[in-house]
Amino acid sequence: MSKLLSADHQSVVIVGAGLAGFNLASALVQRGYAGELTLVGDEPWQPYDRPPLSKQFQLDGDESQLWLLPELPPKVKQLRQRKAMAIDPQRQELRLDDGSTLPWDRLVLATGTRPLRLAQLDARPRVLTLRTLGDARAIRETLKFVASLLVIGGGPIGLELAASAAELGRQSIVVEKSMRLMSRSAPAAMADILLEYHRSRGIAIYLGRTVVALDEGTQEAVLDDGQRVPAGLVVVGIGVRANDELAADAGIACDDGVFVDGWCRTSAPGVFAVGDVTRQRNPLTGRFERIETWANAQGQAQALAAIWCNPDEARAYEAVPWFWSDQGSARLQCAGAITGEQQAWRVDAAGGRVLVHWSAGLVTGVATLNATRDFGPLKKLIVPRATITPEQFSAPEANIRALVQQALAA
Amino acid sequence: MTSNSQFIPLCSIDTVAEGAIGMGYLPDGRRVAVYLVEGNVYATDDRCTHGNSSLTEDGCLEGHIVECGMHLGTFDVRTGKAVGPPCTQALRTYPVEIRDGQVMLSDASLVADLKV
Ligand SMILES: Cc1cc2nc3c(=O)[nH]c(=O)nc-3n(C[C@H](O)[C@H](O)[C@H](O)COP(=O)(O)OP(=O)(O)OC[C@H]3O[C@@H](n4cnc5c(N)ncnc54)[C@H](O)[C@@H]3O)c2cc1C
Ligand code: FES
Repeated sequence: MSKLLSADHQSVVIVGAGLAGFNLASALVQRGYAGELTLVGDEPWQPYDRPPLSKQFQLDGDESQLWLLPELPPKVKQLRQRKAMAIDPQRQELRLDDGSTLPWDRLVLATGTRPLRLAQLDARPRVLTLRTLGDARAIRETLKFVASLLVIGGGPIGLELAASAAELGRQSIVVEKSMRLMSRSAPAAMADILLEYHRSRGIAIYLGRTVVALDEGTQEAVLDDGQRVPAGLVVVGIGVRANDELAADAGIACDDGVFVDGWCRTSAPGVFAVGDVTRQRNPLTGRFERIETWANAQGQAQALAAIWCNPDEARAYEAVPWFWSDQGSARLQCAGAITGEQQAWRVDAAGGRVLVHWSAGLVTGVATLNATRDFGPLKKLIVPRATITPEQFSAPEANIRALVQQALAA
Repeated sequence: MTSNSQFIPLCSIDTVAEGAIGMGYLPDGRRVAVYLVEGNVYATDDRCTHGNSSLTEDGCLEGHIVECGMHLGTFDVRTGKAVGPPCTQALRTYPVEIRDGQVMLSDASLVADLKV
C-alpha cells in the first residue's frame, strides 16, 4: 500500500469538482486510497466535462453526454453547491459557506478559473460568458431567438462557439483586439490558416478591433473604428482569471494562479493544487505559466494521485502541454511551444496542415489542422532528445509515422 | 461446428501490416478496424467512443494499444477497454480469425445476428 497515505486518520479535502478535482478523486480511489475523501464543489451539477459546452452541446443540447464518468463511488463524500470560503493552514481547516468547517491532512485546490469580463458591457442583457453548464444553457437558449452571435475575443472557446452558431445558421461575428487569432495558444502561421478557414465558412472576423458600445435598439455593436456589426447575443471570451483567492488569503504564493512545483505542492505545507488554477513551470519555455487545457487538468491530477499512492515510482509532473480545439469541422491540435528558431510545413493529400517548430535542432512544437493522423506521432518527439530534421519532415514522399519511429528508436 | 458460410470476411490479411491498422466492413455497412499484433488478429469498431473520429484513418497502433488521433485517447485492442483519457467507454470488439488469408468475423451467433 501507499507509503504516504497509509497512515490512519488521513483525510483529503479537494476544493473544486471540475475535471481536475473529479479526476484526482477517481484516481485516488482507483489507486486504493482508503482514508477520508471529500470533494467540495460550488456548482449544483454532478461533475461534468467543459469542452462540449462550446461545441456539440450547442448543437444538440444533450446533457447526458456531459457527465464525467465513471461516477465517483459513495465513499467519496461529495458536497455540491457548497463554496469553500477560507483556508486555515495552521489549524488545517477549511471553512465552508454554511459556516461549517472541514478538517484536512491534505488540502487540494482545484478551483479552476473564471472568465474575464468587459467593464463597459457588464450588466447588459444578452451579454454572456462561457464557463459553466449554466452559461452554456443560457447561450443555447438565447441563440434560439436571435439572428446573430457576436463573440468578443478570438481564442479557442470563442472560435468554437462562433463555429457552432454558424452551423446553427446564425450570423457569426468575431471581434479580436490583436492582429491575429489565438495569440496565446497557437502558432501565428497556423492562426492565419484558421482565419481563412473561418472566413471561408461565412464567419466575419475583425482583427485589431474592439467593441466600444452596444446599441440595444438595433441589436448592434459599435467597433472602435465606428463600424456597426450585428450583435443579437454577445459572448465575451477574452480569457480567464484564476480562482486563487482562497490561496492568496491564506498567504499561499499566487500570481493570478497558485504556484506549484512538479509535485503539485503549493508554498504551504499540506496544501496542493491541480488544474487550471495552477501556475507551473512549462518544461518548454521554462517559465511559470497557467496551462489551461483539458490534458493538463487530467494529467496533473493523475500525477498527484500517483505521487501520493505510489511514491516509489512517482515522478515530477512535467508533461508537454497540448490541447485540441474542434472549431466546426476544423480540428486544431497544438503541442509544445508555439514558436521556434525554425519551422516547416506539410500539407497532406486531404489538405490537412502540419506545422513543426525546432529550437537548437530539437522539435519543440507541433500544430496540426485537420491532420489528426500525424499529430500524436509527432508530439512524441517533443520530450525526448530524438529529432527529425526539417528536410526529412518536408520531403514530399516522407512517411511521418515511419520517420518518428526511426527517430525514437535511434 | 460452424460451416464456412457463417463467417464474414472483413479484409485480406495482406492489407493488415503488423503495427498498422486495417479496415473492414460489416454487412450493415459499419466500418471496423483490424489489427495484427504479434501474429494475432483483433477487430474493434472503427469509430472512437469519445467522438467522431475513425481509428483506421487517424488512429495509431503501438503494441496492443490504439491511440485515437483526435484527442489521443487510447484503447486496448484485445478487450476494447478504454485505457487512456479522454476515453472512458469501451470499444466494441469482434471475434476474428484468419482463414485462407482472409480476416473473418468468427462468432457464429454474431454472424447470424449481423446477417439479418
Ligand atoms: C467552453 C469550454 C470549452 C473547452 N474546450 C476545451 C478543449 O476543446 N480542449 C482543451 O484542451 N480544453 C478545453 N477547455 C478547458 C478545460 O475544460 C479546462 O482546462 C478544465 O475544465 C480545467 O479543469 P479544472 O478542474 O482545473 O477547472 P474547472 O473545470 O474550472 O473546475 C473548477 C471547479 O471549481 C469550482 N470552484 C471554484 N472555486 C470554488 C470554491 N471556493 N469552492 C468550491 N468550488 C469552487 C468551480 O465552480 C468549478 O466547478 C474548455 C473550457 C471551456 C470552458
Ligand atoms: S474522439 Fe477519440 S479521443 Fe476524442
